[in-house]
Amino acid sequence: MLLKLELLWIFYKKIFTASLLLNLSLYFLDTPFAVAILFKFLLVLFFLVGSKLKKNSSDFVFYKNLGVSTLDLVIGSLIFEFIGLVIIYKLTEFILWF
Amino acid sequence: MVLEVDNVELNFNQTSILQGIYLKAETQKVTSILGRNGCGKSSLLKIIFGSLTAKYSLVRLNKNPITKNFYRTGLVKYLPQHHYIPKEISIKKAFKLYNCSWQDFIMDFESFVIHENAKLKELSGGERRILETYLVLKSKAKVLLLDEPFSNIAPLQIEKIKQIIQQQKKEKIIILTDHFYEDVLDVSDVLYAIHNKRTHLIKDKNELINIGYLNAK
Repeated sequence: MLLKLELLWIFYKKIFTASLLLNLSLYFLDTPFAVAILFKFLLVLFFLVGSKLKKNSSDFVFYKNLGVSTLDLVIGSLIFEFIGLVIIYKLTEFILWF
Repeated sequence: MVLEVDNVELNFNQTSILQGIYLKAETQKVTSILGRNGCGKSSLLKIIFGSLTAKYSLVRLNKNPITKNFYRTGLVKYLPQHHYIPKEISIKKAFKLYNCSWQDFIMDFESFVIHENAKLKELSGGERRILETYLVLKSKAKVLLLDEPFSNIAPLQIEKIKQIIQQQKKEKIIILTDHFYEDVLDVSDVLYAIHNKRTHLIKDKNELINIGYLNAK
């Protein structure tokens, strides 16, 4: 389980900074939470399809060799996205209120 | 351990690539596949691994059918033609994840000693290939699928990789494919060629000429 989490994080790390900045932008643009979630989910799917179509892509073999499927990567990334968005929305709300 | 791949049929759009494929591989024997570019060698390895879905395919391990993607079982590792480890990962991390010993590695490949704390992106293409090949070969998996393990590697290093393959075959099923056919013949115990979408068990080098893989000269 820990190995799987570590692999999901290795995969998600590539988009972490961009995702964080996007979350902040979405918040300050007053995007409703549900719309932000939907937007981010579509973005993750777009990113995954893009990675898969990349020339000479080895189709996530690194992860599959360690037992993690493409579906695991999609679900893991979506969970990280959801957690990130909740943290940004709630944390920013709290900081601004304070 | 015996791995059998049976009744594989693969089409891309309307084009038939593989048809009625049969292949048997076992421990203590390196099984190799030769064939022209585009004949479906890599696709066959991907079908066994479980990352490519064929129209029909049956993979059996010790007579037991593998009913889910083989890679999900943790019993198989696949070396694709291209780099597969993310380049941002440190070498130490890669060894940890693949459960391999760095000390054993530098005994085989001394020149890597300076890279212990490096990331994969700091290695040359050939060095990266050696490391990726080694990690698959020395992993704890029982079945190894090697797609072009001798490509982009210097001759001396190829010899070392061949030695490791010979060591590892004692307890692992190894299926490999490469265009360096002399190295393939050197390391193989069982040889198949894919010709006209089917596998042919090759017992004599002349058969490779007959199927048009090698020149008669």
